Amino acid sequence: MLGLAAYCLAPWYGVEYGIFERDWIDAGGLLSEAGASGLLRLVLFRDAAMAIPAAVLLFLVAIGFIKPASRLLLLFSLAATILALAAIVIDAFAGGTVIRSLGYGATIVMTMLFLSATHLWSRLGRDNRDAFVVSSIAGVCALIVLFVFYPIAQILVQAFVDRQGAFSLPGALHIAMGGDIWSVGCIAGKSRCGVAINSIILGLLTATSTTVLGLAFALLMSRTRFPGKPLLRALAVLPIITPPFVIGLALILLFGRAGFVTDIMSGLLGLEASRWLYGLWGIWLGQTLAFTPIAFLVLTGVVQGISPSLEEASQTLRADLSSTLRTVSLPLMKPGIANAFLLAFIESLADFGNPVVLGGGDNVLSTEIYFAIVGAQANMMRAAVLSLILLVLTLTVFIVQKRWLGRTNFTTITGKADNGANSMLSTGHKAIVYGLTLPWMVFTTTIYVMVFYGGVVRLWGQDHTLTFAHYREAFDIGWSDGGIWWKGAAWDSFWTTISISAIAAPLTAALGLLTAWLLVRQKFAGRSTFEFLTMLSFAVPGTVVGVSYILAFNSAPIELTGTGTILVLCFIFRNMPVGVRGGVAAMKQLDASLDEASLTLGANSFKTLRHVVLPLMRPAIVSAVAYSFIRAITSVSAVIFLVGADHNMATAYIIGLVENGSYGLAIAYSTVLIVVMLIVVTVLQLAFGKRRLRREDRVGYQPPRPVAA
Amino acid sequence: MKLDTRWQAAEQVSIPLNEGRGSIVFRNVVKKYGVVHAVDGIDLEIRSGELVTLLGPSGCGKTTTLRMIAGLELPTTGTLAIGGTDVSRLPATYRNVSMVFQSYALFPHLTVLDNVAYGLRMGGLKTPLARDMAEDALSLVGLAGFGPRLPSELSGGQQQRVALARAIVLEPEVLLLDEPLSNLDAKLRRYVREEIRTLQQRIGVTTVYVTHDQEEAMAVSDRIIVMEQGRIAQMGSPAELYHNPRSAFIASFIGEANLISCVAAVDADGSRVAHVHDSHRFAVPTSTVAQGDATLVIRPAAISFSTGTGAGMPGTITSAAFLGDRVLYGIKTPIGRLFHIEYVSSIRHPDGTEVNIILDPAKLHLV
Repeated sequence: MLGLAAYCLAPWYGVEYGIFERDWIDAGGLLSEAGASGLLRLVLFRDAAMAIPAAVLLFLVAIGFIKPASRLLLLFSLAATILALAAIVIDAFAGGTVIRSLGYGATIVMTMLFLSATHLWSRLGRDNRDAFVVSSIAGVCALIVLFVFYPIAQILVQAFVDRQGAFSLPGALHIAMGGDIWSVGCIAGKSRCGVAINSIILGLLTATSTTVLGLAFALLMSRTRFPGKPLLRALAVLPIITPPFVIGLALILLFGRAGFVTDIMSGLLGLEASRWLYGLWGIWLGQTLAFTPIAFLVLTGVVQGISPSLEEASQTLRADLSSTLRTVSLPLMKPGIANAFLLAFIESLADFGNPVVLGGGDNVLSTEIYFAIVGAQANMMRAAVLSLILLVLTLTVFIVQKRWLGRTNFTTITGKADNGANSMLSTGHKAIVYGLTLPWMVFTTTIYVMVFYGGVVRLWGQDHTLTFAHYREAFDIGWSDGGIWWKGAAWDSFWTTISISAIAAPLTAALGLLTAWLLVRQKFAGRSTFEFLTMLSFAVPGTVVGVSYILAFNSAPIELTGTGTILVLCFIFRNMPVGVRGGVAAMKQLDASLDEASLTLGANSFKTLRHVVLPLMRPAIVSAVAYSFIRAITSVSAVIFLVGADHNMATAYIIGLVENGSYGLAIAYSTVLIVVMLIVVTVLQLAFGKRRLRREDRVGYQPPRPVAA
Repeated sequence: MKLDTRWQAAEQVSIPLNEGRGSIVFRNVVKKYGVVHAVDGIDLEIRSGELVTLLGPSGCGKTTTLRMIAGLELPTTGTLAIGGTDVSRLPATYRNVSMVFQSYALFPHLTVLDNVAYGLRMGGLKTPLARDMAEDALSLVGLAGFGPRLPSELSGGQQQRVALARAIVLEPEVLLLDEPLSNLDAKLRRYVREEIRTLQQRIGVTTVYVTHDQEEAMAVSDRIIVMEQGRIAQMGSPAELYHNPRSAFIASFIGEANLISCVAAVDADGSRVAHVHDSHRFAVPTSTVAQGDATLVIRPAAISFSTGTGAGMPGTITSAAFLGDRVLYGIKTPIGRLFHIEYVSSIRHPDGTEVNIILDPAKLHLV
């Protein structure tokens, strides 16, 4: 009884606290017009807009005391709460002549009003849901709307507003239809192609090459007795912890004008050093190296998902190994292969790191957006229009992938014990697979060797003496009277990166896993739409996210640019879908009757989540945290727009180094990042990664001693 | 016990019948998933302290019914009352009902003791007290001293008893058992079902038991509710269902029976008869059908035969299977193929034996 009373009242007392909070946060300027709290604004400055929240808050606290509240009363308070929220929002956007950004007070008041609204809704609801579940669903939706859809809507608006701030449809169309975007001249060999066409060509090339290589690796992994499988697994993981431009850098060290291979070739064959790497072909090579592991991981699942009994059936029906693969296995894998293809296509469109390092004269959409903003012209309208084009392209592919492939899924894992083994490859196919994969493995290994080698060479192409000068320049530590003096040039951005990623990672994982839990365990109207929305934010390219955040959060009512907060928010909503996917997969492994058992034993859904689901999901939580951390450290595309003077991120800093031609320093810094990530992930896995369900794991457990009577 | 004010505030619909602790009343309850009617309008009453089995083939709605009592599903329409209080819209957390799951659903990360104490702690009990009560519950199911182990270290039967202890330690109004024996091997089943019955009698808790095994249902229940396609096909004591099945479905589901299509009629002297193929006429003592197409239920026990020819119906043995304590015969007769069980220790009549069949009219039944 008391539990429920406290539960009902807590948010409302929180509201009062919120007002209190507002009183003292701006203590210095509390009595000034701009710095006043809501209450003071109302009393001292006759700001009528502050009256509505105050009235509703008092009303809500009063309602809290009325125990069996009638339906009408609940309905009325819900309406009042929504009204108050709307009033604050309207006030924020159109309040008088000066639009101010919202402070802590308003944020807390709004959060509390929002929680009250969801709570009232849960009490009203026909299906008597837990307030926790309703609040979570509404909260996740509100956050996604605020930090994914609202910024994108800003792009939409900005695309039609010209330099003078006037609405201009012809202007937008002029940019959107421009020859620099859609020209197909390069196919005829005459001139350069437009950036959109470049992006699409690149996407198709990359998707094809990564899918073919990924499939070959997947077959090598599960259908041959290839001895180097552990090495293969390691190579598959490496690109995940590699910042995206590092491969591009290594390619420059190999094939650039002063590259290792270029030197040998010109020495041996007298070929003249050329700039072939800088352009579409170079980007393609870089992306293929970077994304093949992703295709490999997707396709391994597909290849292993083929039920062995189907292949065995085919063989008992007189088909040999080769025709079994051709007539049974490959057709069953088709949807999976198409899925990998589309995924690689999206990744290629969204990629920023490789094009910016290797692009040379050939720009793609993502880099063109960047240059539109940082270039001499600082053309926001052009950036917005280009972002829209990129967004439409990726979303189309994403929707095609979900809608079309969602229905044709032949993966045949059933949960029934499926005996038998997948058939091996025939000799002919094995030759093809080995022929594709072995050279590629050698190539990838070389690339990584180059990364480490490049960091310890004085000046690539000219002075190959080994030196730690680059490391020293970046990470030198000195002693001063005050303690450690972080002398190196990189320390500043290094610590920013680590701390911001460390803040974002647990939040990302928490939001992702909460969403996953809602998706898997709760039935509610609009569940599939909810799922689609959360996944959609995955398909928005980083460059577009960056532009949209600049547009949305650069001015009041929400002013965040240049702060660390915007970086944290950006990481949370960029990487959340990863947490969702991991969480959904892990939660589907957990028997739903465990949750139900907890519910029938009197736990509510929050307690169930805390005492049953979370402890059992520990490995998934660890990998979600680790993965969010890595993605935050390695991401470039969105971050490059959002870093400010106080908050520089490592990747943005390294891009700057590359643009200045300081390859040695850039590579040394990247190497350190890779090593740090390896250490963090390994420590996380070792410390928390194991699920302790068996006695062997409970080292040192002492049974309770019987107490003497 | 853990019912919150929030839910006591729900309207107290007065349902006149059965207000005792743990009584359950369904009034026209429907559960729809999309367009599928999982439960299609059931009315039933379960008395306080009774052990009732929900029996039926898979997909008949018995598990959905059980889950509605638990509060894991809420009815689409209709009312459901437990202990005289309408709980139609009350979720599982707030109901004083415990459930033993088919998979046991023991929390693998908690020790046996913490599993049993879980519900007590969620109800707000202090941990030491909860543990003491959990120890007691474990002794009750014969697992004293197993507290510090993890569920994965117990055998299937032991896990089952932990699940039972976890449910009864809360002293629920209603205990629900969802196919509790399905994960045990055949020998253990009979033992465990006797244990469950004894324990239920001892603590006197209203118990609803879901199974698809009619033998299990007959062995443990006060009453059996047979469900078919989301509706109640028939309810009654095991003996009632066996001796007076109301449909061919019940007759075939409860015990074994030969079902023969026939035409029912009433003779001039008022006695009920069944005509098979217009050539054979059987007098029947009871019938739910007076006229027209019907099914003649012939339990194996109604059949007796002797070798050679005689006054009865002629037949030929077509199969004979020796099962240790009994022999299963298949017999070809003019009215169709009949099977018969003889409790003897060897096959006395090989295939092809011509026999003379007598049906005991008192044991025939027409539905």
